[in-house]
Amino acid sequence: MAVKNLIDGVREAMLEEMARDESIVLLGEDVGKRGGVFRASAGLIEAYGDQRVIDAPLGESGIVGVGIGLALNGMRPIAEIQFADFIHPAFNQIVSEAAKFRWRSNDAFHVPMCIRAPFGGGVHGGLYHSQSVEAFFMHVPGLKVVIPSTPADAKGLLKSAIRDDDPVLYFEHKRTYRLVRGEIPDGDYTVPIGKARLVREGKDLSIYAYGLMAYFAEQAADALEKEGISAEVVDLRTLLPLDREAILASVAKTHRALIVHEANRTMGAGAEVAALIAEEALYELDAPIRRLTGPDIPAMPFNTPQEERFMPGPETIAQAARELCAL
Amino acid sequence: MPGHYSWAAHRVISGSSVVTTQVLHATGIALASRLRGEDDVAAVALGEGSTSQGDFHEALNWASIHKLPVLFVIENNGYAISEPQCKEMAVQDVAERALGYAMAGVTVDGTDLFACYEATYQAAERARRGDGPTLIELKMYRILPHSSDDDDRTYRSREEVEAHKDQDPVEILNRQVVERGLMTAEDIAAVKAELQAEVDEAIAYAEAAPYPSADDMFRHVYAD
Repeated sequence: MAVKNLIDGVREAMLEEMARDESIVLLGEDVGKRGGVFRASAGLIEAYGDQRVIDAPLGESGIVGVGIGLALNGMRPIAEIQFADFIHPAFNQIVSEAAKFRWRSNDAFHVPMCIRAPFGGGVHGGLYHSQSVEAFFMHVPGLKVVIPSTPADAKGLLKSAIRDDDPVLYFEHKRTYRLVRGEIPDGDYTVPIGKARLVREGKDLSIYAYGLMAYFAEQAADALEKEGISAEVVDLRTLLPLDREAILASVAKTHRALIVHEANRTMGAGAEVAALIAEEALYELDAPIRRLTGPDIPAMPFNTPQEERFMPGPETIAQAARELCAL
Repeated sequence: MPGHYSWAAHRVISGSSVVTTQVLHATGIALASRLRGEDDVAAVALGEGSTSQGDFHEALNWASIHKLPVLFVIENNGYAISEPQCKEMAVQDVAERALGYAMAGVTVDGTDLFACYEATYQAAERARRGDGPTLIELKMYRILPHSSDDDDRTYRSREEVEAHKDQDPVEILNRQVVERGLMTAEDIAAVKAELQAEVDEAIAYAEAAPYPSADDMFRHVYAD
């Protein structure tokens, strides 16, 4: 095993999967010679040529719509949207078409496609290079939504997403790309979609998070431990379908739930986790469910003080945990 | 609306109601065939109204860049529900739009089956030669309202509709096959009776069929 960056997990998964299965192609803006604006596909065009690593014209609906056509005709496309902020022109293709093909056709057609998109802020990306869009797609049966927070999961989950027979949205937090380092196991392995990861065990409260926030939650738990607060951290990893069993098992143990996400609060992923706990585990709770989220403003500001205020971080997560444990 | 039919065995792809999404699917289907070195040609149908959608233009652009074997078959019947063509586009012929994508575009009399066949045949040959996609515009007049719920008297005169009544492609075909000595009036009557019987049988089958169980709606959301 070697310690690598999270983005290495993304790149290695594509590199290895394309070697394993000739039906896998990558299409997106600048994915070829440039190797992706974040370098996630560096080396792929040299390995597999421009027939399988396709520089797409600049149009997201086209990338996803052509991807659907490829998938309908025996291929396994990986469609890259350069920034999740720009996925909305493809919303119709994802929601009206990719998500519905199997059900609409009584299983005659299906869309084995993985849509990758970097998301999230904290990188001075400003309004249109920082957004978190996962909640829009959590509302759509027929899709799966996956967000890794470690290099090992980035690789294993992407392999699962590529091999899945249904459309999977795989969101990569761009700040984690080179911030989060960790061991990537040698050899071929997958991480199952639909299973949360128990990051660390605790007994005083459960912190539910994903992506960069799972990384920050672990740091917060380290700090809390020194103060005598034992935090359990659950990395959701898959938002659709949620790992209900893991979520409920943790709160049954700790009796307190703190849900953290960077996306704005209203109708975010946290609302669904909170509703699940309220419906299924209300009598386990020793305190009200708490959410720590981005604020309900239109986008991530560019300037430093406002961007920092927008993003939950290790310190604000720890503070929210302290307050929850004091109740 | 149960109009989302498909026929996998004959590679007829499932369609939705959100217009023009299918044009990109056809382009991707053609790209897959190209990548595998097959000589398939994809054909996709749409109305002239759908050519205002962005997906139409993205699909033509992709198809032409990669010279993909795909035929964009546009039924231009002059109306998108109530909107006449002049409110849908500034060009006279949809086929003019092919120029902007450096692809072949042809306008054909859509009431003439033989002309439609010839244009489609040529386009398919072009696609198989690797010379890229073709935009085929089939022009006709929509004699009937848009749907059973559409009252077309609210937006077009009876005189206009009356003036086009002789442009029913089926009636024109009936005349053509007799004139060319391909069929007699009796042959046509026999075909019509045969088709009528087939439709009647299908309706009877559908009406006699039980509804699906309510639980069936939970099937096939994802792979089993």
